[in-house]
Amino acid sequence: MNTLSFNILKTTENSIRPGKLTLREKTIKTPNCILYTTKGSVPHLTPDNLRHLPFGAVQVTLEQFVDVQPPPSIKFPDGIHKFLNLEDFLVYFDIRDPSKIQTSSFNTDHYVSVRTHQGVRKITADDYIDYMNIYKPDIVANMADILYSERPGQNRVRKSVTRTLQWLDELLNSKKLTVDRRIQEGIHVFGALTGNQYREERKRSAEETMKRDVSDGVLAGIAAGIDLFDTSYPTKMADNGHALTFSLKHSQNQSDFEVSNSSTSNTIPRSINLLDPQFKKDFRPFVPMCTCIACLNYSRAYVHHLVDTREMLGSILLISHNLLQYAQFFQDIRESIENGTFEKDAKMFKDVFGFEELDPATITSSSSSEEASSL
Amino acid sequence: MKSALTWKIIAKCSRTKARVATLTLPHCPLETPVFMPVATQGTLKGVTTKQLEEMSCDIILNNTYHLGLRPGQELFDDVGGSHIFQNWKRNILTDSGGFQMVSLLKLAEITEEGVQFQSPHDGSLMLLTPEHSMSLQNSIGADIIMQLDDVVASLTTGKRVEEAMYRSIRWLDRCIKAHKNPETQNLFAITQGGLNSELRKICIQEMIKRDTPGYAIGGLSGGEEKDIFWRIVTLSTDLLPKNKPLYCMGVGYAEDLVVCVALGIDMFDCVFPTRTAELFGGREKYPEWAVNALRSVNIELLP
Repeated sequence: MNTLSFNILKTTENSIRPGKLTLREKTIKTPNCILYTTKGSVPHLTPDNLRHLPFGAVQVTLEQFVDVQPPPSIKFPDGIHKFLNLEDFLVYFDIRDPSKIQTSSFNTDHYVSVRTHQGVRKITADDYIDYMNIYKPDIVANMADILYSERPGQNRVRKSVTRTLQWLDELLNSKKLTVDRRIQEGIHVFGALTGNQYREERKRSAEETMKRDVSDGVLAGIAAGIDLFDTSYPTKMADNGHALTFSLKHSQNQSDFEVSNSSTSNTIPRSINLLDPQFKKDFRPFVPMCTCIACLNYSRAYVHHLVDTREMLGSILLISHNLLQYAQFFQDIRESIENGTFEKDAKMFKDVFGFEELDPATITSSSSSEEASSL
Repeated sequence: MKSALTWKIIAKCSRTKARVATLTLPHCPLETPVFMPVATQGTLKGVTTKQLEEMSCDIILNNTYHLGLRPGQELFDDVGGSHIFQNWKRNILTDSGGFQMVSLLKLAEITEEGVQFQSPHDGSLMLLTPEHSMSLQNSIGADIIMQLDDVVASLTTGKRVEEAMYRSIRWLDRCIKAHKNPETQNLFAITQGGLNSELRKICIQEMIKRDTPGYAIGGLSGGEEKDIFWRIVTLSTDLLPKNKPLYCMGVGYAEDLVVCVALGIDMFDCVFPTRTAELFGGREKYPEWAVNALRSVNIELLP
């Protein structure tokens, strides 16, 4: 049996909530993050390095699979897990790359435009169903009409909600990917929510989605709380040469990040930029006590040398560290929620690591992927 | 001269010049014939040192010229050498920087004193002399270090080849004199002489007198005809001492490895597997030159 269940472990007066998602004998405690991939590969990590990290699920996007037509991957008969050599991972399938914040071209009632190296491709709801029939992911987010502009007009947003619901219906009522087949293959549908900044449309999107027969159990848990995030942020930071240094538990000392020539600051940086020559002779790990393969075996000075010479190992070490740091951050958040100290801890986090104004553009773009996974 | 290695031949091929031996270096023993993957900048492309250990790799190459530029000698003195810097517990061999005379020829000017390189990064000048190469290699701390040699492209002919050969002998003497850690680092001589057997013979005879812990054959694998290449290799292994490890520099294609092992070579390096993502397509049959080379050591390949 291959059912998906989602239980809220504890309810709080606000929307902060610890939960547990169970599927294919795998349990993912929430809030949590799933791995961002490019073409189904966690950037820079071979499977052995990946399996050092405490992750159980990957996010794969169709956008990255369709540059060549027809995609060679559809000829592989045994599903996406085996194709990616990730049989022990849950695969969450979505249509667009969550790290891309721009629209590729316009969407219509019939298709979503995606951006590939070979140009823009149109994906219809029917195409999407065909791909899912072949890839057989554990979870598929239905095709959504995501709007990337900062403040789209209300009419456009209404259209986006309507289209997304329409596509959800097409997916759920498909003759090709029937309920029976979904059950047999263990494919679970996540409803994608849209609505942008309009409360009314948000509400319509959520309520209408809930009426549909999307994976039950998940829907039972719907609330304002977001439960799943993805790792595109730590991945991007690694690609820019940054090692994450923040943590909710604040076990770091300021002195671990002091450099002789820096001005005195009361806060600890959220990340350090290994391209900075200040690390040339810094033989400390990124973060003391961190147990990632980078911090256990290598120094900031060595990684500075690697990024300075553009060596591949630099990316491997940075992403290994950032992903573990991020996973740990989520574990700390879950513990904090369970202990009822989340709000206090969040305030301390702000005091220790400084307050960063969130860029509205970033919020808009990242929220789309979070929403898809928030059910 | 002093040596920081032991070399024990375990078995010899009954027909060819091939041998299996244990080469014990300061960080760990290893079996030869051995291929040494190239970690130019102090890292093997895309591989952690743990993965390298799991692949049973016992020795890697670092490049003196590149590491001298970045991260620089001072860092190696501070941290205590390249092994610690890159967290590698097994052996390292450093190239002297001589090869960059060929690969970066446009940026290099060669005189009796040494080679003047222009940094490809910031245009600054670096004079690499035999003494400076030794000093850098002493700081990097590899188990095997190479003399600075005067390398000419293998297709070069005429006086320049002879000049480079004699200069390499003089530079070997300067390297031996400048080498500060003969108890912990093994200095290998590099025989030169281009594709000219007479020059090769003179060079080998002179270098044998210096009695270094091992010997390398340099100046090959630069686009020369394979029929000439293998004849220089077999001439060299005939003349070089049988009781020392022999290293053929820059060789790494599959059939070259098979032929050179049969001709008595123990150590190899090449960027081929690390630099080329493409696999060397398995050839159905050996090329003609390899058939001839193997025939010279009593191996007839089945048709």
